Amino acid sequence: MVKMTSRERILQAIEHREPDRVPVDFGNRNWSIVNAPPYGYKALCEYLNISDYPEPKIVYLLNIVANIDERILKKFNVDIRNLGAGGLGMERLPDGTLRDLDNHGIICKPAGPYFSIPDTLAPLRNAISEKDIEEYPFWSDYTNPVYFKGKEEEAKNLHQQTDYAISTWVPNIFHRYAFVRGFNNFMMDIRINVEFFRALANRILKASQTFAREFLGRVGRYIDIVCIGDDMGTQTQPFMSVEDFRKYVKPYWAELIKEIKKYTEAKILLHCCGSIYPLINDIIEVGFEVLNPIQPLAYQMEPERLKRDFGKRICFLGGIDIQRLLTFGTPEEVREGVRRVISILAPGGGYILAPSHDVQPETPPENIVAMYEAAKEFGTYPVKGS
Amino acid sequence: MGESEYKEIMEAVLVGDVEKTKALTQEMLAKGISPHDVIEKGLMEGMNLVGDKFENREYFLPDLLVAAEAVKRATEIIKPHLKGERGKGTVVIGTVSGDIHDLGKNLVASTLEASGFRVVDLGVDVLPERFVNTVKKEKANILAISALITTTMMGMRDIIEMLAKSGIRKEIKVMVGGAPLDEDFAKRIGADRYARTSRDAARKALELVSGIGKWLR
Repeated sequence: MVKMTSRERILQAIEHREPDRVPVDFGNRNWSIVNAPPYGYKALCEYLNISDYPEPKIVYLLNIVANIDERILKKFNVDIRNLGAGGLGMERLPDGTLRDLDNHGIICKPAGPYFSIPDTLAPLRNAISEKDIEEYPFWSDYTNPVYFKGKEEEAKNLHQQTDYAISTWVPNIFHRYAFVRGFNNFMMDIRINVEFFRALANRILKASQTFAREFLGRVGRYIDIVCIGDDMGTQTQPFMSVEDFRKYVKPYWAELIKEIKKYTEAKILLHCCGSIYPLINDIIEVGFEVLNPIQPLAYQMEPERLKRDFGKRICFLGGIDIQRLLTFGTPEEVREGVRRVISILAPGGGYILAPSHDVQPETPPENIVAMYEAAKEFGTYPVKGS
Repeated sequence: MGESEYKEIMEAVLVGDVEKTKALTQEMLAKGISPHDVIEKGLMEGMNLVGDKFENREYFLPDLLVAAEAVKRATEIIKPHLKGERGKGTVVIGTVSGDIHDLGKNLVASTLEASGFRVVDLGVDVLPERFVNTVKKEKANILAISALITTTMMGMRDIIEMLAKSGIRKEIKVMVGGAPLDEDFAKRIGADRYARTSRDAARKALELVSGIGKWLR
């Protein structure tokens, strides 16, 4: 088969055609690497004998590295590069907590290797009316040029001077709902506070649509994948029933996607953690073309089941287990795991290989290397089916 | 006392009707029904059904949380009527240092309270010395510790060791819970019980304070 460019490879996979090899991704938000000991990003660089890597740019909350050294991405044959938006950053408050000015002023606090967003500090936890929502002073203003200044040029350069597929992220709706309101309140609002729920969800939707308009309006024509990260699952089940999901989540996603489509022809990716099998049909219906992260140990998320039931209708990105395999497996087990997942998910296209979430601090660097070496070893089409 | 009243309040909990659960609680207390019976035969039975439905995936987080909220609010009404009674015993509960997850911990706290325990909730990100000092101060029977992150769950061992150093390990039963834990881990760090769900926690807490449980390790 003729060698393809990374961009062609990614688009073919998303369109369910077999490219030359299984495309891979790493270093993107939600499938990057946590910057914390015992291993983390630093250990990976050291293992690969890279000592002069640029100062890691950390995505707060997840504590992951947004600017993985280009030499690592090249070594791993990564096919996607991400275009990040600008931002105002975090404001440190007198009590040691941080206010995220780019995410509607949510309050977070360092906890272990991550940041946590406690319900008890959720700024709108006590709000009761639409007036409370409107008067809240920390709504992010995505018309502020800080978010898109210089980005048109950057996107154009990435598009014209590299042959990578270019991704970017648009603010989600329900993660932000849970953060400004508190997760427990989010869940309870759809039961006992529906009118308020709709007002708050609409306010957040409006902001995300504004971001889509302002940001994608400038860079949209250079982008191949637009990502939205809105979790709906625990390890064992979706947050809510399919009926509730259709009533309270899907319509807002539909509105956001509609706005995004005005400014770009990019494919739309949903990052949605955990056990979400019962929701996938609706996720496809609403317009998502790529589903991430495919956590194989979550209930009903086995690659076999997903490929069988949805493999022809949505592309999977992720799937290499970070909960046990990458974290506690041997390099040989990782190699075998990657071979297995490729044999299940890759036939017919529709698969982009990546870790099933950010690589966790306990993951030895040799396992990360083993993953991408195995992707190379077993990823050439036609792949061996299972 | 007719069974129908207990059934009615169970139903209210089951459908997550907070206001109705509160109103029925008040009514039952006004009729002179014992606060313990309202809790055990009404609220807890309702919460048990909710727990079953959640485990069977008939119920989801909104259903579970609203039911827990109904029980919590009803328990607030009942609390003054329990004054002076220690009920089943005192539980000190909290999430370990460095960890601020509290969804599961809160459910366990409300369930224990509804099961008749006096619950002292220290919240999240609790330092070991605070756990130990509170156990002493409150003369607690059970210490219940929660962790949701693999890196923070190791802090549970420190707390148990500190209890031993303070010479009170024998007087207190330790229960642990949280997503990354299991029975093995609990044994390894020297806890008395591992609880997988809030219902499991209530059952094991009752076992720990009952005659025989006191002597089981």
